[in-house]
Amino acid sequence: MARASARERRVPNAHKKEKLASSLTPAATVPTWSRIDTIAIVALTIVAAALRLWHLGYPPGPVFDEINFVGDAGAYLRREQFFTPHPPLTIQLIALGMWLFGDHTWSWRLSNALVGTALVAITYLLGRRLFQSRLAAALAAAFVALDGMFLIDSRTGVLDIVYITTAALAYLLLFRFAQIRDSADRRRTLVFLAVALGLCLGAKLMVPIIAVILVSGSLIYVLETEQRIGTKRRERHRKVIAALLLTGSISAIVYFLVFVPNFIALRWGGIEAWWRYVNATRWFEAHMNAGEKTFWSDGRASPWWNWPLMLHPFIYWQRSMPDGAVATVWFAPNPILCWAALGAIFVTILRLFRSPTFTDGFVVAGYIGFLAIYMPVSRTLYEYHYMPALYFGYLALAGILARCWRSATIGFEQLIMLLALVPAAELGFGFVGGSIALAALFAAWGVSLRRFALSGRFACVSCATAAFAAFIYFAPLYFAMPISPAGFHSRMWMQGPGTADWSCCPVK
Amino acid sequence: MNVLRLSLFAVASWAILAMLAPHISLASENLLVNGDFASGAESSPAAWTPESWVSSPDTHYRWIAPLRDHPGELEIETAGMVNDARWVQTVHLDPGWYHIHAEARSENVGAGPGLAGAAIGILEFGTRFDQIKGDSDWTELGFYLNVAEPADVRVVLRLGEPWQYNTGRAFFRNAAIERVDGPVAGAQIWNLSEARSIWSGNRLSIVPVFVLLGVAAAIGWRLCKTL
Repeated sequence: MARASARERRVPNAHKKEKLASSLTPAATVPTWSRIDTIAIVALTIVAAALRLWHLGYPPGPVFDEINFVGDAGAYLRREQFFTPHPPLTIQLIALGMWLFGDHTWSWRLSNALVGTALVAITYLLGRRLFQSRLAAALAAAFVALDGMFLIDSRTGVLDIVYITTAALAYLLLFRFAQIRDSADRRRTLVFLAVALGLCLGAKLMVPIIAVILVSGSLIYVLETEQRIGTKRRERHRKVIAALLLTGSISAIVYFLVFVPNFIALRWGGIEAWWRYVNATRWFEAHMNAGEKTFWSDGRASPWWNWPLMLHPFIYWQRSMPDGAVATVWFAPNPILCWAALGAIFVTILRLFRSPTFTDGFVVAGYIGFLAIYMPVSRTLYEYHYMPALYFGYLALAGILARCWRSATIGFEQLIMLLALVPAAELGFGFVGGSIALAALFAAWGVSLRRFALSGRFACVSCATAAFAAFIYFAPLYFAMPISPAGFHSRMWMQGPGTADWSCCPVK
Repeated sequence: MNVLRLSLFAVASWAILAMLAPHISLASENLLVNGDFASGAESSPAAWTPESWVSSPDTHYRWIAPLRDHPGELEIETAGMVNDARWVQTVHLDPGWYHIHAEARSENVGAGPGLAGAAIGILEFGTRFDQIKGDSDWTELGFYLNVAEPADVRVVLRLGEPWQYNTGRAFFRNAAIERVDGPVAGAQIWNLSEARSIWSGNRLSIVPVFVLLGVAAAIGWRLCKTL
């Protein structure tokens, strides 16, 4: 009797372990591609392209860091030596636009607009593979399409959108690799993954290393876990080493290929010149870290812990119009999405404790990794440094909202999602108006809780609708549309001193 | 005897002339074309080209034609958005020492740290030249350049530099490049070969890197046959 009960206890435990092990590997199945997928990805790409290409030449002069990177691109075309600490891929893409179409503001920005549009499509494909859900994929792509930071960096000749897009491509290919079984197809996928990682490394200094660690670590994990049964440990290790050798060497080749235009157009003397560039970069970073500028000496800068709370966005560009209106490019995320993404990461971490999955682990690791890299940095940092982490925040948010929709969340998780709307309502509508709106919202949710399936959908629709409304409301500040000074100030929800200053530091 | 004396005199004269001639002629010759900004058409000076680090509607270039006692001037105005703005002329220089100089004055040029002012210089990475900032009256700016082998040099009259952009107005007049025996004591000196060696090296040294990585990729490709 005692034996039987012990066996009974063991069997569910073994079943539990097996279930746990299977949840910790990427899902082997992906929804089959349907007409809905085609319609969704085409529609999202068209919307993203329209938002990114519309009126691309405005503002008519350099915006924020365009003075550096568009200038570097112009120096490329003039074959004039220059130094920038960043690897040159993004600058080369800006130069390509200028070379093809001439020196116009829209041609500076065209390559980033196209890359930023591609990010939306890639996010849809990635979302499908991560969550096995078309809704999650569509939501993730829509969030990237409608976020202020992703939109503005796609409409400006600056660096971040390119490495984020190539990193996203690498994540997509990683999940493709994990979800296919044909050896030849897997090997080809690894090559493309390596190319994406090489381009990512060639687009910005240092930060892409997190993408490399994340993808490489996941690759090792996938290869080690999927063949645990029936494959000798030595054989598994051999496969891991082979995969790392292939991806590492091809990534390095692509990374160095990015520098070839420097060897040709800028007369760099081979690997010695590259090594001098590396040393110059180390000197530059040390110089920056030495405290020449601090968070408080540049009012636009903010420490890393400000970013998830969206405490310190800043103005990229601002002009007063003759009629008294003011046109602004305000670099900030969509506040609803930003705060909801933080909630979604919190919920995902809780889920990791309760029922861990590979996807949730990947998303949380990406978010924390891209935030952690900035924690020890003492030099000036800006809100845009949050973009690669926020990308994972949006993936998490899409995953949680899709789960809400199909009633796979508990009430507490829905509540966390709805709580993201609280600061927006209070700050946007004022205390009285906001409190009334929130009371109505939570009352409606409470009613919907009686029918549990409806409460998840209510939370999902509420968040998505509020995010879309916030996009419409803040759109004039993303597109530099002239609005009245009162309209501008009404959108600056936080105007306190120090870190919580949304209208900080207009750039001339 | 007279013939001998005359011959000696002629030879000595030629020798003295031969020694002095380069100094006499080169010292006075301005190797810049239109360095006095005397000629031009409409608003553009002859032989000088405006060039911005970034094209901006806030950056303006003007030629001020000479008028009576006032020599011609070149002006750069950067209002609003900062920039690195320059007037540029390319000059071919043979080996030797050169004095490159101009007079400059500034109006409302940002004077803070990390802001480059008005200067005459050459467009070579890593070179820095004496500058004027703030509101400054006409000031002689210049430096000595050593050229080891024949080279085309881009001479710039500029306001701001990459990563040290600035705003304000800068005026330049009487720009010149003169060949000289050597620099005067205490003057700013640049060596063109050194300036150009910053990214130097053997271009082909990148090839073994690609070969090595290519071999590693090929081995990886082969090993990944049964993933």
